Amino acid sequence: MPSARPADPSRRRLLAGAAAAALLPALGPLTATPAGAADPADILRRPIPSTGEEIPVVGMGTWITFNVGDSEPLRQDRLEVLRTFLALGGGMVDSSPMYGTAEEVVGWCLERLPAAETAGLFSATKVWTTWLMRDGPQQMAESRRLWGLDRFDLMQVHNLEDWEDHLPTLADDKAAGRVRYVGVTTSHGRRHDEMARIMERHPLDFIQITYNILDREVEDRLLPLAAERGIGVIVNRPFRQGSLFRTVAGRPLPGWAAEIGAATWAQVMLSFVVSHPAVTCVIPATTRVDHMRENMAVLRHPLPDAALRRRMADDLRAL
Amino acid sequence: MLPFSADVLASLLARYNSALWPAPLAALVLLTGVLGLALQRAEAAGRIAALTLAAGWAWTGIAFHAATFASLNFAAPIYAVLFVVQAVLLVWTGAVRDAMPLARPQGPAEAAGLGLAVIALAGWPLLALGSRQGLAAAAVGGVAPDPTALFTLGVLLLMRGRTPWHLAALPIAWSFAGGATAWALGGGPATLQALAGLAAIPLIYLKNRRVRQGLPG
Repeated sequence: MPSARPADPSRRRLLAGAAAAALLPALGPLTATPAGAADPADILRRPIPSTGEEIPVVGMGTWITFNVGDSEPLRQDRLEVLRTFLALGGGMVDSSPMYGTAEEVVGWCLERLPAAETAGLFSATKVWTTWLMRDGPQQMAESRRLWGLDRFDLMQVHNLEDWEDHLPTLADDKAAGRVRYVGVTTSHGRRHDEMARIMERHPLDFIQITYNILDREVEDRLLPLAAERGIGVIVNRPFRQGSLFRTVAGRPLPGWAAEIGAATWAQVMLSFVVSHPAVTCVIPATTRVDHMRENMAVLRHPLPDAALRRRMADDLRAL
Repeated sequence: MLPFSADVLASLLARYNSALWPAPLAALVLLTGVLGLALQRAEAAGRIAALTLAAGWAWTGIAFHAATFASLNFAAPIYAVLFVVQAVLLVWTGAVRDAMPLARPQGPAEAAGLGLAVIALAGWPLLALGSRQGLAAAAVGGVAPDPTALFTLGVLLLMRGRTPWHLAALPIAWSFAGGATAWALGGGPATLQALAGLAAIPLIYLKNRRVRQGLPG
């Protein structure tokens, strides 16, 4: 669902971000409306390069947070987290068979939400085969059952495991309509060379990588390559699995945080990630409704321009 | 990097204990009995200890790792196999070959073994008081992995004569794994179990050397 380009002159930094995106021909422009807008449609979105379909730039991960087993009280807590995410305009929910009961819990939550509340869901999971579980198609069918879906929006090869086997299967699934988009993932900065080779030689809609204000290696190669090849980018570990919060613990927000509407360090870190023009979506994970509200507020904030991004990174590195 | 949080693990343990109740209590009683037999130098103490410990390892492998923990952790089926292997080793060495005689503490290794066994039995369940679920989430020796491994290490140090390394290897390895897990989940006293594993290595080595030299084991 496209939204209007910002025209407010006070949103210079956002426009600068859009201008940066325009320099990358394979990427569509940023679209957003003024901060604080009440309409859930008026949020920061990015187009998926391969189709132009726009998705909100803040999604939700489920690593650890949704792996709560059979516990009814913990499932109820996660239901409220997911409800809040979707109510605030969230789209992409990313999981994996590797995350224990996370897929089952996501499905349990979706089953309990009215269809109107889940209309914006962009379902993303992964195929993850190991020596214990070799059958990718069977695993993907199980994931559909767990989520209660007929098809996924995005199916990714988890951590590049057996990607040579899975990518042809995913291409067939995409052609058959069992999945809309396909991709590959990695995390913790691992196997970037192999990922680059796959990006150069295979048709992908998405890659998923680790990127945050301190781990910026992907800016050198993978992000420009994604832009060049028209591949969407999903970012995991935007908070370094929480360790960035320990880095900034007890420190006041810098003055520049106000320029991007950030009231918390989490918003600073998310704004940094999504302000890179090649990034399509970031997927922070949380168990708390108040943290989810913090994360989703970024959808309505102005983004830092290149100069402020440099300053943000320099200041964080100096801590 | 673990795929679950401390809160979720405590919740899992609470539901596991509840589903098995009164098995955790029975396990506690049985293991206390094993310790009592050892201290009384009962004739069949070694065999009974080996069979009881084997039952605890097999139960923990199957009921905890394979049937419960596997939902949270993809590595749990591997742990289950290892725990069953330890159970088989205990049955073979301690019951079939009757090669696990127990003794009252005589030296530092035995004293450490007794201390370890008491901590595993009485202290480890109390760590759950720090969780939201309280004692309901207690990790109990014989049905939960960490105290089972620690108690086993304690009993092996209490052995009269040499402590077989093939029986100690997995409990030591698990104490490292358990300590690392506790550290990854935020630290706390459970992290110290790694030290128990670390200390067990020189204690067993010195104990076995003493036996080789003809001194009391």
